[in-house]
Amino acid sequence: MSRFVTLTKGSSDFYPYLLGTFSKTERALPVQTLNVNSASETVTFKIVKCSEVVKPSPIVMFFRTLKMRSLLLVLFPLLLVLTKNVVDLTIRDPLAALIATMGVVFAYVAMSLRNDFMDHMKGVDRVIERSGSRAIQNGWMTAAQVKTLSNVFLGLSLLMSVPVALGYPQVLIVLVIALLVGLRAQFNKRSSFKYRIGGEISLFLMFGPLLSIGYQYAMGTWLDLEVVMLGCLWGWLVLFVVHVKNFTNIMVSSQAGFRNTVNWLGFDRSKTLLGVWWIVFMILNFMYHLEFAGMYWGWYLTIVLLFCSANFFYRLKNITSPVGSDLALILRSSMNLFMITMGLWVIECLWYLST
Amino acid sequence: MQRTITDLKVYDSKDFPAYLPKLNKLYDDLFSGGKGFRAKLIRMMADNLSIPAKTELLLAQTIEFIHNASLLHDDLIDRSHLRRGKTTAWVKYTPEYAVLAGDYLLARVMVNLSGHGNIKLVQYTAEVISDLLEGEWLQDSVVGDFFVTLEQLDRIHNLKTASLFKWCIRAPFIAQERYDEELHQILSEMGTLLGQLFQRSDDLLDYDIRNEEGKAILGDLKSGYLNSFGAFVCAGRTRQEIDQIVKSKTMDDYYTSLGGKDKFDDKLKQFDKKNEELIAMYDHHLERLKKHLKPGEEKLLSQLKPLTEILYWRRKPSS
Repeated sequence: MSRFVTLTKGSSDFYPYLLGTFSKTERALPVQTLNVNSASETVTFKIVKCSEVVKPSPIVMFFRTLKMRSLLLVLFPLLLVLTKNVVDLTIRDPLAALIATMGVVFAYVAMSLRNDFMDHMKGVDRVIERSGSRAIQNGWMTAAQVKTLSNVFLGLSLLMSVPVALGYPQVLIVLVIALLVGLRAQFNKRSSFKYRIGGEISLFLMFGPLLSIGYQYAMGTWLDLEVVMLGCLWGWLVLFVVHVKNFTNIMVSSQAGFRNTVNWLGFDRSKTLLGVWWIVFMILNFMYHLEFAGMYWGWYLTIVLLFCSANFFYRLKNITSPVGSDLALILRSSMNLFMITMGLWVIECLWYLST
Repeated sequence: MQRTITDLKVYDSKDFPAYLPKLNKLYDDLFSGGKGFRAKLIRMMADNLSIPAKTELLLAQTIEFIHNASLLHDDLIDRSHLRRGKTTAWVKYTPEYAVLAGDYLLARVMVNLSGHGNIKLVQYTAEVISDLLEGEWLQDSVVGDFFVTLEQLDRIHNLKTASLFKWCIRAPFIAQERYDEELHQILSEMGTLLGQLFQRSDDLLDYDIRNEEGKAILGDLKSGYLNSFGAFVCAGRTRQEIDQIVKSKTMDDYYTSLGGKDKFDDKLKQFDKKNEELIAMYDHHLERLKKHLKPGEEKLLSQLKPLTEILYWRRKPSS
């Protein structure tokens, strides 16, 4: 039999319930949050026994909690940088590259878990129903456990970074910058990482240029403009997905007072932002190919992407409401574009590697 | 002296200028009929909080004016031809008059309330009107959307329906200048839950569930609006299945589209169970309210308790 507990931020029990440390045998599932992110924040928890928590299979839980699907965001740039260096015959240290990759994967998992923890504590994931992995909100793990797990992965990541940094001190510079960007986003009290305009820039830097430059250094090679451009291109694409996701949550996040570019622009102008963002991506992609890769690939990719964008632009033009199923369709067609782009790049990489 | 709801004359044609053509006739039609549930809720709150009769009347008038203004606008937006068994105002008096009459009621609300002198009450009421209009705006944007989710509809209903219920239970405390933040959070939660339960129960009438007032069957669906129960039933279904469901003209068609009456009953059971959870939450907040009431006001708890029974299960209170 479940029961409810309502606590305000001033209460001494507030954080133990939010962290899940109030009991060893029960879980507090947040079912209602009022005045999020303010001194008078009030959360109503449904208290259930640990044994009564509905859980999917362990493998599903593992994949969802660690957001394994989104690992692509950090592994894909590796493929791009790796291909570039294989083609240019500039890989000097494959072992360092492998260790760096493991380090980046661990760091990404740590960041992702930390982000879930912070979004839970700050209320983002309690207000936006489909945000985050839902591991804490569903009671699979407590927030405290997620934080500990995040620290474990961070430790592993740092462990991996030691040999790479010792071998290639330039990696250390990239790591320090990434750490500073991450910490700045993490310790900003106002709101979550993804839900601030400054947070978006941090995401661009961390998933884009910092990641590609880090990989480049870890492969034992030198920095060049191509790898920076590659990182910028990827960062721009990742931010496209972030903007689309923010757009699908525009109403709830605006009501909760979260700030990001989409909320700042409003519904109609955000539609323009998404359209322009995608067009700029296609232009950047074309220019990158003109400058650094096969021009024919630039034409080929652009034509295919333009053709595939028709559905996205059609849906974007016709969406009229911040609620309703059209939002899911926009998200789906944007994710399709994202996947198609990656698919085309994989083909392109394979082509370079085989010739 | 114990007052009854019939003592509360929320509408009097003398309160409106006689020189405006059609206005009083339109309001006579509008205010006759209707259950006046919101005004009854005000009465219940006022009785228990010992609110002066004049303030009580002002509050009851305010909520009924806002509610009726929303009906005038709602009928025009939905292109409904009937309201409470009568021709709707926009059909009978032209859409322009219906819009103006609705706007005029909202303006009167502000005039009357500002005369009362409690600026917090004026501000809160203005917020509620703004929520109501936001909800109306958003609801229109999901007409014809048969893939809308229950969570999305809840957001609209929170603005459009629950905001008025919240007002009914918060405004009497504000009128008494009782502004305790925790008290108002509790009342907000309770009002939201009551509004959601009322809306969901009202949506069930469309599927002939507990439909003792004889509301038209599948009316929402036929006018292209998937209501909360409809969204609950359609969740996770394929486009083809939903196409089949929304084409239903009768309840038998509807049962067939779901795979039989048993499947429908199963869904209903799940929906009721989901709403029982909301009722449990309401009871939890009611318990929290206890400590914020002054001596002599505790009777309010026993009167607020059966509201979920009345609003969701549509049962008469047992006592």
